[in-house]
Amino acid sequence: MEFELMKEQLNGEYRKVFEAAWIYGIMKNVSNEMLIDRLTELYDILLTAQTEGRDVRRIAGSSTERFCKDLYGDYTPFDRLKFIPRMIYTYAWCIFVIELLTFTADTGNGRTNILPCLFGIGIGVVFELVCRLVIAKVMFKSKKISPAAWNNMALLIFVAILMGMLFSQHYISAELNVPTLPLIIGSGVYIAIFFTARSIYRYKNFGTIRNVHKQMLKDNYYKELSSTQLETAVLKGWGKRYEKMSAKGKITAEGFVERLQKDERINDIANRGFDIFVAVLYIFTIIERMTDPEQGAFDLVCYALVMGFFLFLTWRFFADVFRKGSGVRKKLIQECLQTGVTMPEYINSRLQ
Amino acid sequence: MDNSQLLKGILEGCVLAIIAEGETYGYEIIGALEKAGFEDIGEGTLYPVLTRLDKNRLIRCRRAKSPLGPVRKYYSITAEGKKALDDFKDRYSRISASAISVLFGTKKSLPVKK
Repeated sequence: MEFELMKEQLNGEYRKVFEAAWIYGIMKNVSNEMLIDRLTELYDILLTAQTEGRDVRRIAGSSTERFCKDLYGDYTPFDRLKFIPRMIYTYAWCIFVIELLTFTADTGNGRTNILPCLFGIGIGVVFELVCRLVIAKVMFKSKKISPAAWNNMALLIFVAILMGMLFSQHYISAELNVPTLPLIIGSGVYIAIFFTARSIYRYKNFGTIRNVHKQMLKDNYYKELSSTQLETAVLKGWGKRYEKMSAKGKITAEGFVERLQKDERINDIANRGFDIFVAVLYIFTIIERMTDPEQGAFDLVCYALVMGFFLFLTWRFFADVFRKGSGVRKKLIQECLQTGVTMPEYINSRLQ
Repeated sequence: MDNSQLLKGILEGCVLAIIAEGETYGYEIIGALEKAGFEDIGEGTLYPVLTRLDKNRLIRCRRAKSPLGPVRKYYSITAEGKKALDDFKDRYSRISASAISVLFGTKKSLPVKK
């Protein structure tokens, strides 16, 4: 998360102001675009002030709460309600994906029990409102806040939705069966309308249908911050590992880099294994569907395409994460070998 | 009387005047306002003003890298902004002259502090 990286570049009071502005924005249901817009601008100003040694109070005044209120001062009550269509958009995607898979798998004879979905969404909405309207406010007032706590809360909301869906599926006997196809079309139409309206809004305001604020965060500066943070985390992990292993007499300073190289070779094999696992999983799922005598050829193709698409997205996400980590580790090992020092020495010099 | 109420009306014009001097950015605008004697004008106060000016197309904004690295917003005045600034200057001088006249009994200048 770029805000987390930005926060780490700031010290003391500068960091506190940035954090407060971040939490306040979330608390007030500020749109993601506005949050990026305000926080990147604020970050630039705070970083410049920090570099020049300018008192943070000259930027934020004496009351952080007042400052935050002013910062988002042009956010109207109407703007605050905009999170509702956005929230519905997220849930529409959930329904669309689940029902599309159900429909193509044809597990419900063209009908689906919508109750677990509604139950899960209901829990999600209540949980989100409680988080935004109560918990975030308490977090902000307590001044012991961490934006990371909000991320954990977002994860909790997701878990609550899933738990709600599973719970209702197993423990609520009542059913609300509706035809699957209109449900897919309905959620698909909502997604299309939302997407079109958002594109028009963006085009009118920024001359492009892309999210300019998100594009801004793709700037090399933020990428470098991210890579530096990852490198630091890897080096710290290696440092701790070396301390433990050397304390037990299992490794020497000279042998540590070789050990890490060996680990990387194993990781490469594991990554390839993951690719194979996903491919095998896909093939077996399709074969399993083929063995179903009631499965028509057209339905099977649809199922294969939909399943393939979502599995591909999941695979790509994890593959990117693995590739990024592996790239950083290999780069650090290479740099260590080029400098001609032992890995523990290299770690110390980098972390200093 | 609360300073912020007094400031509200004139801050937009003053920010516009600073931007009219040449392309600038948030941190520099805060500095210029402070130098001119405006106290407690932080980012929180300035940002809504800049957004309003941008929405009304009186200024335009472009994003570029700052010397420290992060993306920075640079503001410059538009033709509409120049017109609005002239209009503001005209209205402000008339209003302030009237206010001085009522408050200090002269239409020409402020009383000299002793």
